[in-house]
Amino acid sequence: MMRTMKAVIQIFIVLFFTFINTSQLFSQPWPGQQGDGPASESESVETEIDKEFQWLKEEAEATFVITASRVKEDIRKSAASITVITEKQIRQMGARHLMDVLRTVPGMSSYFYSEGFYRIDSRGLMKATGQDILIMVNSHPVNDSFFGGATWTYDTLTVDNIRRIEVIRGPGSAMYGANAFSGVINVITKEPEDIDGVQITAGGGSYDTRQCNFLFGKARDEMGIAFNFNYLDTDGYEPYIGQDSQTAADNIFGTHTSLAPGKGKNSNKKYDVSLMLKYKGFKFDGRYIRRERIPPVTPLGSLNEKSVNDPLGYYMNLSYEHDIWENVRFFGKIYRNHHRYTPDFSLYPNSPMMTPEGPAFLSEDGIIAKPSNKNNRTGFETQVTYQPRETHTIVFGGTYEKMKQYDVRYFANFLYDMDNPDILIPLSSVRDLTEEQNMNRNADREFSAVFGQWLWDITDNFRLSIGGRYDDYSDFGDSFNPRVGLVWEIIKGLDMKLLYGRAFRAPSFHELYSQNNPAIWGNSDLDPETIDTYEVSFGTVVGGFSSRLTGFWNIIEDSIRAAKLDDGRFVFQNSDELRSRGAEVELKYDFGRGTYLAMNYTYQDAENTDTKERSPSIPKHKGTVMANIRLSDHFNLYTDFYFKDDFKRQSGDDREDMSGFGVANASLIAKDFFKGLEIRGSVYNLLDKDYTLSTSKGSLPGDLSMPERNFIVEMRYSF
Amino acid sequence: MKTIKSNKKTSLLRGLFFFFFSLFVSGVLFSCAQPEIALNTEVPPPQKIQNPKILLINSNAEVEKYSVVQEEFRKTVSCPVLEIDLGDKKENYDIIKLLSYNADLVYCIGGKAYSFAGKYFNEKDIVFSSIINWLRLPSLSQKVYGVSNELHARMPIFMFRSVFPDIKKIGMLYSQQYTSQWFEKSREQASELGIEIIGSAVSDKASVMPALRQLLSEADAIWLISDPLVISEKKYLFEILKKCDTNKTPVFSYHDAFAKSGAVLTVSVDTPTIGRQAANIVMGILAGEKIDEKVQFPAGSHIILNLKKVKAYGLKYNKNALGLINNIIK
Repeated sequence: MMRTMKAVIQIFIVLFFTFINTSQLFSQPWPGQQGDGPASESESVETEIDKEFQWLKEEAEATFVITASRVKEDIRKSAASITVITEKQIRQMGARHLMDVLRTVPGMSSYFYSEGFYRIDSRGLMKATGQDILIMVNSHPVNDSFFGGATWTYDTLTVDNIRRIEVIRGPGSAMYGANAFSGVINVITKEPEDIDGVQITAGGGSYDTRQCNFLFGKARDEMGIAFNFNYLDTDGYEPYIGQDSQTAADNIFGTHTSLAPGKGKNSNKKYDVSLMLKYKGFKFDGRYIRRERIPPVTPLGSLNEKSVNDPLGYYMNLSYEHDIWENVRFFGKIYRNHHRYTPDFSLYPNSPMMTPEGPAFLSEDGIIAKPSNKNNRTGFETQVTYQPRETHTIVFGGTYEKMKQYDVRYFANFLYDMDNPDILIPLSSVRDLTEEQNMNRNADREFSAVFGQWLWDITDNFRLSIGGRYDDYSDFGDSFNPRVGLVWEIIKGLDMKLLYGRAFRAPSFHELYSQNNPAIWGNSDLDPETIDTYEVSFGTVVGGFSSRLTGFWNIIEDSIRAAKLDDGRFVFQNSDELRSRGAEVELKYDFGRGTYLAMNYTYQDAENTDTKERSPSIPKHKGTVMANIRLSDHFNLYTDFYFKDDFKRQSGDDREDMSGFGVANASLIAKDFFKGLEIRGSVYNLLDKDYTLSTSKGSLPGDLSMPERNFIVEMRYSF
Repeated sequence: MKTIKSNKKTSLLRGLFFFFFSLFVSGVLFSCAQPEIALNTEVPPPQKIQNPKILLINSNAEVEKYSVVQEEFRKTVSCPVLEIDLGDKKENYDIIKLLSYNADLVYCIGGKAYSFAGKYFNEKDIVFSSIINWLRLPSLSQKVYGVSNELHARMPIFMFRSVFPDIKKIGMLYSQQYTSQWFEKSREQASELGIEIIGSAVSDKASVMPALRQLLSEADAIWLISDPLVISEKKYLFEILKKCDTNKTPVFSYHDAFAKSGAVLTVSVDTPTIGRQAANIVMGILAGEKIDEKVQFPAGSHIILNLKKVKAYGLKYNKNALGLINNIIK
């Protein structure tokens, strides 16, 4: 720990002194100020003008009305279940990354998966790589086309340059298209004028964690720039694994090659760079993320020492926004997303395996497999917003995109016997098997879409929103997804919402084209999954007390799952109908000046309507209790307690159902003792609770243990 | 194209959905048929309150416009006033304590104060002042009164026309967010006086100068109003004045200091009068009087003419109207 603290302080001092002098560059007076504009006759005129601007600024910050409809603009008026988490809240809760923030969102939760990335559960629905949740950065989707999700690369997105996060539970395909299935997470980053200076953050803590962040932003005349660099290096929590899948093989062959019992590695090194440039109506927004991750467990459930996942992703988009007419606004964007998937799996370390000649040992490196591919998404989008009257807002637009998967390759030191997938044929070394047994293939897909939405304030307390989107995909066909929402302010302080929406999830290239993989085969005839969602919601506000009760019902059809064929292979297929229903309760009491007490509880019941089986690894009950106490101008204390209970195993899994758990966290901020300096200390799993997360049937024999009490300390300097 | 497969549960769900839908439709019809009637009870006739107490909320006492109004208000009212300053970071006000003060009326100075009052004291009589464009506030309930920050739109337009009778087209920069209603009202009033107001809505800082350039090609003068998006920083104010100066297009505005910085004609509000007006409304409510005009316009104004600029631009002006001007810059 002392070494870590020393490293933190060293990084901080170097960055501080390196950039402290650059502050001089940004304190020059702007053109048009004193002496440059029209003649200021005396200092008193300047003072009067300063006072006037002080008033204008104060009035600008009053937030009771935004829309021309004269209806209070807050998320209660939106016909959707939206939670907005502000920059301040993210800071107070001690969130380390995007997934940490989700623990406070009703209906949503994240789980660390044994392969080293997070999964997201939204109202009882959870997919392996988050392909049912659309993640956007500044309203730009970042889901890849190989897995269909974004959590492989973007799960631990840095929070230091986030202005707010908007989380929608429920369908969003009517506006955003594919994969806005059970939720949408939109991360809004800070604009140049929000930053207006430099912010340096350095921190460190348990598991040899070191992180530093440099944020810079400035707006000048009609130009602006915002730049963020984040570096993270952590050994991560190394879970203790008593037995793994290799243990079972050892028992069969009488060998001792398993690394279990032992600790799984869980290191993560990440570079995250983002840049935003603005000039008049033009905006360039780009991001580059590169990670080196060693997960605790391999895809085959063996304790891992050598497997490495090093995803790389970037996106660039260039947009233009302009008022082309009175009340008509045009927005256009061209973009390019790129993902690279290049894991280096050491599936079984130094392991015996069954060959046609009997048990055999491979090299000391064990069974190695290196599938890889690259994916691009290139397209353009246009959108027009038209407000013919104060009470009507119409949005319509179109999108065209081309997805391309290329450079699909496969290296391994073994071959599968295709007639008997349990048998592996050892090779003397790792070889290029792209031609012989590639695990996927080059692929192309195009889609075009048109969408529209009409927001109508029928009366001052009644709002209707109707929207829909039509997508036409070159491979699986077309999909129309409507959405209708009604919001009624029954009396002041009491509102009711009614929502129907439909969404779809496009089959990913992994689900369509996987091949030569004994674990799972793709199916090019897959149809998209569809979900129909019905929601009723009531909300109240009385003084400082606010509450919301939401009931939801989801029906999922053509759910894509791995089904076993007669020949023994597992193949992706459209199969069962799923149903997820439940309720969310949110309560908050605001004592004023930043002190509040809040809680949310979700009851979610997800099951396969054909087999009546509950969805595995999804808790029926979950929630969070949060308290934020503004102790003084200089100190803020935050604490939360999140709980999950009533888990069920997968059908056929004989292990006892996983027990529920509750975890407490706390974060203390000290600021403004020295201008611009802030120190934050956060403790996670404050009560040192022993708890686990479930693993899939057939992977690890036991569940994955979660971190014990751990901490991070951070210093931030802004100027 | 995918279609929904029916089953019993889906039918039940659809039935529930349409039940709620018809409930909503009923709500719409009810709201549309009787728009004036709120679903809460009617406000009882005003009654004199014995030993009244007032809660005064200032958005930020460091802002002079707010503090001047507060001072005049305090001088005029004669009953106990509990004052809180939302801008005072050292002040650690306790909502429960404020609620238990049980004020009979809340006076809010500024938008933040109004928003605060609306959140915690929405059952009380509320009087507001010093808010940009009160027309953008949510529909005022029966218990809300106020003093507009802006003069009646007709007044400055009347002055523009009186002093510069040849000016027929006035350009106005405004924003949907803060002043669209004010723009509409001004356009309406101007039309009655034979003047055309051409508006250009700006949505962010970047669009201000392009919008101004567009207006300059069409308008005879520019009316600069108090909109935090149009003049978000001093440099934008100076850029606008400079651009208009280069174009020899007169700028009409609302603040004395702008006249001294290059605007041709300003019609400004007398801030202390607003405080006194608010105090009179408050005392009237507490005395049980019926207040006919829920939102009053400021009673005091001050007019400055920058004759130096008028001559520099070669503008024709009505010398007979100079008697209306309080101060002439030569």
